[in-house]
Amino acid sequence: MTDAAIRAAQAAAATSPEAPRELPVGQSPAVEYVGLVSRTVAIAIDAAIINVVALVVGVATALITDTLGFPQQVKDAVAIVGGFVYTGWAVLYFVTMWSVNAQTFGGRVMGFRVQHPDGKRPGVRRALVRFGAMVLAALPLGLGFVRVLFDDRRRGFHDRVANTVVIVGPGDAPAGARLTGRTSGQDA
Amino acid sequence: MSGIGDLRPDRVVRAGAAAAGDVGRAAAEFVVGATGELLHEAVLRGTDAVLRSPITGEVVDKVLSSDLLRATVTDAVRGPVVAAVLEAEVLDAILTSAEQAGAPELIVDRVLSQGIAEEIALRVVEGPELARILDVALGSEQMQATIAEALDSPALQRIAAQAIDSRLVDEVVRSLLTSEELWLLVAEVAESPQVTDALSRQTAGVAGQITDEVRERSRSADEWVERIAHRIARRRKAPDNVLPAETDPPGGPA
Repeated sequence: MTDAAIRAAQAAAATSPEAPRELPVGQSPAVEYVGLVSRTVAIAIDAAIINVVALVVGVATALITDTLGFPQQVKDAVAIVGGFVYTGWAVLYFVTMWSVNAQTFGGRVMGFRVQHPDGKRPGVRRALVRFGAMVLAALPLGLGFVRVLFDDRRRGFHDRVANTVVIVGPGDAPAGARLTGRTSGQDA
Repeated sequence: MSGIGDLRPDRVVRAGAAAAGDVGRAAAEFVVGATGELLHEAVLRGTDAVLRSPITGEVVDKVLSSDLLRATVTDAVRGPVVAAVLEAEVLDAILTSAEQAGAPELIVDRVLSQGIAEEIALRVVEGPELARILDVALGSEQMQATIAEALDSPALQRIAAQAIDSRLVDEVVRSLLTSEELWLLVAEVAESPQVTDALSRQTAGVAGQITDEVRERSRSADEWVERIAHRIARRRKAPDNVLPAETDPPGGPA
């Protein structure tokens, strides 16, 4: 690729910040993929947020049902519905965060974002797929996440299924280069 | 003892002449005295008449209001009169006399009793002169050196220590702490936008530092965990009958 083509691509990326930047291979900005420990800390933060909210709602619901003197059958039904609501709340939390801001609150604290290798934010469908794959990866005692330790882009099972990467960066910054290797310096 | 027989004509003539001279002299003295008194009385009456007349007052007014008199007096006061007064030490004499007569005490009494002192103090405090004087005084190096020297002096430190140790300070602090106004002031200050902004910035700064520290440590932990995982994986992949690369072969260097 000629220098003129590279300059034209960089100029186009500079003039349209909303669009994902598609720089030539080997010219992408330096990126750093996030490892297993940082992701675990972020997931712990997200889980704490989800569970605190769920706990508050659950306690409030239990107080209401006890105060109003609902029969046991109604309480059981409320508990079952509460389980579905909890699951829906967790799905909603992750899918909304990933698709809207490319990062959850835990990811924001730890300073990384989830994105497509092209730099696009994951859409709702991709975020749903990633969440489902993340649950599957966690089921066999978290073995699905072990792949993060050995992948050249630190991708776990759910990242490969949803075709996403986790890189260091703010949530609202488009990082649109095609990303390969552990850092851009390894792209070639 | 003289007798009638001693009367001689020449003596009589001399005696008569002497008597005549005395009489004449006395008459002359009487005439002169009477004339002088009359003249003195006439002069006094004339002076009174002149002073009482409206014409005299008019003349004096015109003279006093004339430019010529003003210029003359001004020139005299500016130069020769003042010089003459100073040379003759008249001023010293006047001041000495006034001092001996108790004039300073009298002036001070009147100044204090008539409220003039308060007016002067008010004028000095409210006027711009005091600010100018303070500016000049505080800006001078001499004043600053004097203040610094005074602040460093052991006497002032001793006074400050005594003041701090005194019961007055304890009472002031106790009354301050029990006063409702102080806590109202503290609440106002604590709720002011400047303080809340500063606290928010400081809290955000501390939270940012903690977050940065957690990120840095977690990234280090990422690398460390991956190194261990790769090492374990390499050992498992290595065949049992092949020695590790870092082990010296048999017969190698000792």
